Amino acid sequence: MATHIDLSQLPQELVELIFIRLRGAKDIIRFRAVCSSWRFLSSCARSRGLLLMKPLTPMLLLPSNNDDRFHHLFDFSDGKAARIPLPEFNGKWCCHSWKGWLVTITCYPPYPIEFFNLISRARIQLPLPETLQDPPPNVESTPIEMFIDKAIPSSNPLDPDCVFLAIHGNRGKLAFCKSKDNTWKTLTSDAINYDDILYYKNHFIAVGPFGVFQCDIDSEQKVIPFAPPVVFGCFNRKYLVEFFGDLLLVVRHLDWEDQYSDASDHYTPKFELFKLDSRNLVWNELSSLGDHALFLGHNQAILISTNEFNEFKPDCIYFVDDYIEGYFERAAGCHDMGIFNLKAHAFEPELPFTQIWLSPLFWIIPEL
Amino acid sequence: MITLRSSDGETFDLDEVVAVELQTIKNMMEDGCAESVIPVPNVEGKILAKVIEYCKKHVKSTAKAEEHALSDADLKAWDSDFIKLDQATLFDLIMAANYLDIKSLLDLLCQTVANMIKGKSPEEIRQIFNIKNDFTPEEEQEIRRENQWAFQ
Repeated sequence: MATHIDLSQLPQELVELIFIRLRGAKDIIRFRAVCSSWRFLSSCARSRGLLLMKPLTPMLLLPSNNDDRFHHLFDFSDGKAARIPLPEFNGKWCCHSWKGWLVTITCYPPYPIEFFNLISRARIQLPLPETLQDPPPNVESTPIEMFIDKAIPSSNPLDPDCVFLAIHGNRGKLAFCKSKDNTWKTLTSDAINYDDILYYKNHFIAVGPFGVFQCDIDSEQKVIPFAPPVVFGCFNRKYLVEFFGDLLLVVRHLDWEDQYSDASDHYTPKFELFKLDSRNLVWNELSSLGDHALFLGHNQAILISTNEFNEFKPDCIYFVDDYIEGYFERAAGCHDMGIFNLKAHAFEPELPFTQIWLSPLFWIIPEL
Repeated sequence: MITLRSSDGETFDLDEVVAVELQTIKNMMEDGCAESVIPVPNVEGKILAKVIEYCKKHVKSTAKAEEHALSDADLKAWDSDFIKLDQATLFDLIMAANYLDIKSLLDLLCQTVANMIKGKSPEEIRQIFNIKNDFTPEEEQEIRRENQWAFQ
């Protein structure tokens, strides 16, 4: 029996069992660079869909700021921020992130909207904003950066059967398109404000101050009431997330350091969580996420198990700024970010890189 | 009582309740082809001993075994000590756990190796596991260029 083992000589199926236990994007990319048989193995695993079966560790995409022209990807497992050149972002604004994808809008006519995969650099074009029910963007009134608030797919954006739903028109409208469509179609709705959208149990749903609505895309192209409203008041942001089949609503309150001045800094004083009792259509307060952590910001809310990803603390909300107006109201930028511990009912010591940012940070679940 | 014989002739007696942890042996017992002594030609005595040590510790609680059953935390601690092995043994154990079809042991060993890979650069991984870099310089350059952020 040899004393020096060459691990690449282990049968392929056993190396694969080791490989699928890597949950960090960096580790997987480095694995592929070890030797040709490992590179081949990882490609096979990818084409069999193994890489998409279990989500990878969330990372934080830090924007370029002041002197540093580059974006950085922050990895919580080793506390390092790696410089990631993103020339694809020149002339574009990043509206929000969905899993491993970023939704961008180009800042000059015709303002194309795209889904961009951060790791693979794949791009999906969506219909132009001029096809939205509203007149083409008038950049004097609504800055182009706020034109699309969110756009999410019903499945992987590369899927030919994918449908996309977007919040636009100063958060007042919902529009959808199917993959390969050239135009957006706006849904009829009375509700005048939407905070978040989610693809839940084969339907798009949208939440705002007036409740949760289901989007009927196929027949009448309108919104139908789905669940009652919760938590009234203007200065809060609502997020939808699925938790083991149940629907959770997260309310993030917003406050200003100087109540009388919009120019003062805003911050998040508290969160409230609710779970939908789908039989009685009632929201019940949820006081704990158990062994899970929640990630909020300009992204589709992310819930992960801290048993699977132990670089994150259980029963905590990791949040970054989600008040886009802040980036335009003040030259200084935003810094409403942190970690809220639900169990301790208190804010934890800061998130790394808590500082003033001139554009949003994005939570990403890399897709390889 | 089941007796297993390793490739180098060592024999090991096991209670049936332990033997069924090895799915391959369990299948043989159920198919009625388990003889008095079951040969395990692919596995050396030294390794088979370790496999059996693991299975004895992890045997599912029966009325008899419950008195000796460890708590989850204790079992985890025992596992962390168990995997402190030299690489050659680790390698042979993975092969044995796969051949004998012991899922929990295979999971534990694969996770152990995955943890050794985590956070390491490709050079470090090659060094630890004695792997030859068989990329051409051009191939290597291209691979690093593709996702350069991951190689900092």
